[in-house]
Amino acid sequence: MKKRRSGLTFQQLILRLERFWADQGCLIAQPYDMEMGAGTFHPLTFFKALGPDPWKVAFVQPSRRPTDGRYGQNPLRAQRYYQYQVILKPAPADVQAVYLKSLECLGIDLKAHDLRFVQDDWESPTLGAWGLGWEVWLDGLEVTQFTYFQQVGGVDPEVISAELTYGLERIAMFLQGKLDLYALQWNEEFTYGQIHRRDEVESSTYNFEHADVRFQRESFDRAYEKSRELLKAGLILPAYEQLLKSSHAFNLLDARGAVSVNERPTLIAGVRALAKQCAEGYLKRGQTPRGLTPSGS
Amino acid sequence: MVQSFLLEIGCEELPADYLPAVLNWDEQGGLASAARAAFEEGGLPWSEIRLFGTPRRLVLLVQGVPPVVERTEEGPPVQVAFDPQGRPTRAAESFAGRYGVPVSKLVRKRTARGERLVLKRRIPAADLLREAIPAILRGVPFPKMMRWDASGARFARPIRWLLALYGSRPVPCAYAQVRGGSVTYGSRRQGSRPVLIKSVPSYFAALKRLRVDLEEGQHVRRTAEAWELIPLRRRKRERLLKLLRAAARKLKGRLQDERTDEFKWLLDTVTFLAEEPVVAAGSFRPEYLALPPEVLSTSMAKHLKLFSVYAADGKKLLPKFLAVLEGKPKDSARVMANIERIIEARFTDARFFYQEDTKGRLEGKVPDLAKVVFHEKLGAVGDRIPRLQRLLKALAQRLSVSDPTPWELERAAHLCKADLVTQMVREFPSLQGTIGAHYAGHDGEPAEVVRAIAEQYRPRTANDPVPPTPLGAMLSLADRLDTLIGYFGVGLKPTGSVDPYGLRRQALGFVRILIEPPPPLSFAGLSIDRLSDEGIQSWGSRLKADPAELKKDLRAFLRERFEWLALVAGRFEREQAEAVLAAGADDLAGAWERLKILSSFWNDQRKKQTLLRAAKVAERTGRIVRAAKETDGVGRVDPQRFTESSERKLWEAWSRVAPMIQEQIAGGRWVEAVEAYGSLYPQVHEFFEKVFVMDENPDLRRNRLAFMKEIFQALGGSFADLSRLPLAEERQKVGA
Repeated sequence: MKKRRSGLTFQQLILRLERFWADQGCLIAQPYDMEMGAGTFHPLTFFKALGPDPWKVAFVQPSRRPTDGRYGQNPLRAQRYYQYQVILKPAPADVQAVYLKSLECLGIDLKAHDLRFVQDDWESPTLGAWGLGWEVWLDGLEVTQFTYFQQVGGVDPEVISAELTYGLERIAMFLQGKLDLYALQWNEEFTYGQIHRRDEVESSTYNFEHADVRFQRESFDRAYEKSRELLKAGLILPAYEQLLKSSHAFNLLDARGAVSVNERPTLIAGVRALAKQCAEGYLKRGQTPRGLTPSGS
Repeated sequence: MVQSFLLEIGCEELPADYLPAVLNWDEQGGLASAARAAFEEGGLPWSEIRLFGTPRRLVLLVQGVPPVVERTEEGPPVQVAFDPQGRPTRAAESFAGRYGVPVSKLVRKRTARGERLVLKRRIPAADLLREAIPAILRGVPFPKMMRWDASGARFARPIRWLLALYGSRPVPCAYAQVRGGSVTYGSRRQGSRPVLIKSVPSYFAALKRLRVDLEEGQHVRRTAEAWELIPLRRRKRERLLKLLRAAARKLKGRLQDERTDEFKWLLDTVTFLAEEPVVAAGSFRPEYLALPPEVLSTSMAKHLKLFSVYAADGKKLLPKFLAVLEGKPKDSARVMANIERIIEARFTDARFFYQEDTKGRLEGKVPDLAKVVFHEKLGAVGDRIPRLQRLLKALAQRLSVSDPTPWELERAAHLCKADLVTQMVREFPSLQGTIGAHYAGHDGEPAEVVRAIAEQYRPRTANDPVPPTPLGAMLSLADRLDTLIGYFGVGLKPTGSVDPYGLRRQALGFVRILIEPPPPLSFAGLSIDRLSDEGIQSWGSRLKADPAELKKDLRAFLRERFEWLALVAGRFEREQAEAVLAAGADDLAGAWERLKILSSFWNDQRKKQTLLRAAKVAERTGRIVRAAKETDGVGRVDPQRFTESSERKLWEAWSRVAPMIQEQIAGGRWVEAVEAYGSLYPQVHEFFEKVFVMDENPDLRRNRLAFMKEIFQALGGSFADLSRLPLAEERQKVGA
């Protein structure tokens, strides 16, 4: 593969962000090992945004959105992509300036480009979470979602967090001057397409054509029921993991066109109720000074 | 000497959509009201309030604030304030203590609540301003508010700095975790550079140097009695529009229709998306012009806030666009190249949707509408199709219309909602109807049907024209009536200011179509009540409301919209609107016609005299009819029962005139009808002088009432209840 004359490779981009946010005092965490629609679902975001304790974390989270699959044909959309998520709690007063510095550290000369904070009110109905903030536009390209959480798991958090979600592919496209995400250089040797295009075609085919509706419906119901049981037993993280499973099953059913418009609000409300109970359960149990420890140790 | 007070609220980027309201562009509320309320609360005089704003700052300038405000604080009554020995009591001391003065500073004063101790204070304006600032900030309303720091304070986006000056003095203040100061910051393009501001006038000069272009909001001036609005000048928006027009001309084109809501929204948005706006031009590959132009322009406007450029004739889209950038970047060409690549990606997406959608015919998507929910309680959109067809059929029959043909009506209703399940409308919901029409045209559907599909949602807003074709108008009417009946029928009427389904807008559009029909259509004579019966039946058992109640509510709802249109859009007098509605509020199209005639009479000196004579007949007969509670079922007039000569005389005259009036009304010869009616006045006058209507004998009484009712109804039941016109004032003017 020939080397790009300018712009970071996909992996350099991630490394730079890791470095930058580590220097800002963030815990550098790892992706969660379950399917989720966005980094917000990561327990280190969802739970840690609750309660009074300060928290700073940064991590890559692969995000699955079955309905966004385009069989690898769309240059901007895919059913699985990477988010880089940063949580700053409490949101520092200079959070915008720090964020802009992170862009500069990626080699973006802000004076040479058109940068905007365009209103975007974020909401996750399944998580019972919403916040206000912006899409950050770089020459019209949405590169980051910037949100001040106002509610998480149906709970108004005591301390407001800022959530920065970098669209890694978008930023890499911007840096490398490519229109097509599959043409991105992952490193100097491989393109993003070489790593993921084939997976994208197969997964889109699975999501849209082969995912077993009955099986997914059962998975949804079972995970939902299990989650309720686990909540009763006071096992918050396991209950939350079942919520993640039911949420993903819902997304697959949606991609198969198997969610009627009538039942959609009901199913979403069900998952949201679980999220609320998880949040409340977490807060009730939150005596441990360091809060959640996903390893269970 | 009075001075100006300046408050700059430095924010993280405020939503562009919020700023017009905050700056009071179209409405009350907003920052001006918050400031007025806070000044009133603090007892602070002012002469003028001016508002300015950008995405990162809201600026309030209050002129004519005196340096010291005199205020009298009322203390305890004198008899409570001193004991019998004349020594001050605790009541007096604690009152004085509250203001940190000795009791000797208090004076006696007669007040409305008896003689009291009072304290005359001279409070520096700065103290009052310091208290007013948090009140102002708390008082600014936004559609959505947020918390951002531990203070729990709420605003549209985080406040990061406050600049507060009174003349050349900083006003110490605090809100949330921000302390007021005398520093402002430049635009992001200028690196948000801090600048010390020494006085109010120097603030505006400093912002100019920092290249921050403030947009103006509503200015309010205080007058002797109240306050008045100074005509709004949106200078930044105007400048930007001129720049955009010039840039379009340079591309040998012109901007899209500047009257459309999309254009106005886009111009407002870009005005408030940049502190230092700069216009730049770009282009895209001409092959995308094969897509519907609305798709391209909406995609550019909604997704990227870009302006489309049309050929000089205003019809054909050019493969160009205009962007409003935040300041001039070091490398504009590169920025535009980046934007062009995003457009390319967006258009590729749109083309993908177009290709997917047009793989089959539009009618093939109709069955999928069974899966689209209209409303949880109201079933699927697919269920609407047969109802719309039934309503259209009934409408055509009542209007005796044969063009559009029954087949066209059925076809239009069948296809009109199918685009809701296309990928394109899922991506661009605002293009519903437009996309359906494109696809229907692509499928070779008849031109009338295609147009009706495009027009079915018109008028979308108050300024949007009604559908220009008869089929489009009929479809839109049916759509709206079906919607209103459905929502009303399951108890989802709007209440107060809450109208989540936009039913007022739906109803307003409904009435507008009735009163501005596309030629040759006319809805005069159409009974909404009877049409609603058809609509209610078509819903079957799904509706929970009692049909009679439902119709009553619907009638009242439509009537309110009619009155609004009469007063605001038609600029008719309220009494005139009430007069025609009293004569019949079911046929609203007819009522509008009658309102126009009534108003033309009123505005013509000669016809007005005729009208006033007729109005006097209506007034006298109407008054007695209304006063008597038993006019229902008084039956027909029996001339045999008349006993007085005056009543026979009136009956004779009436018998002569009544058939004429009837004929004139039927022929629409309103002037003559009103004239004939007014000619009865001498006999009517004599009747009321000589005859006592409310006779003890019930037969005589009922017969006379029946007579009066017949006369009153002749115009009052068909044209207008003329007795509702403001006759008393007119009588004085014309000396009648």
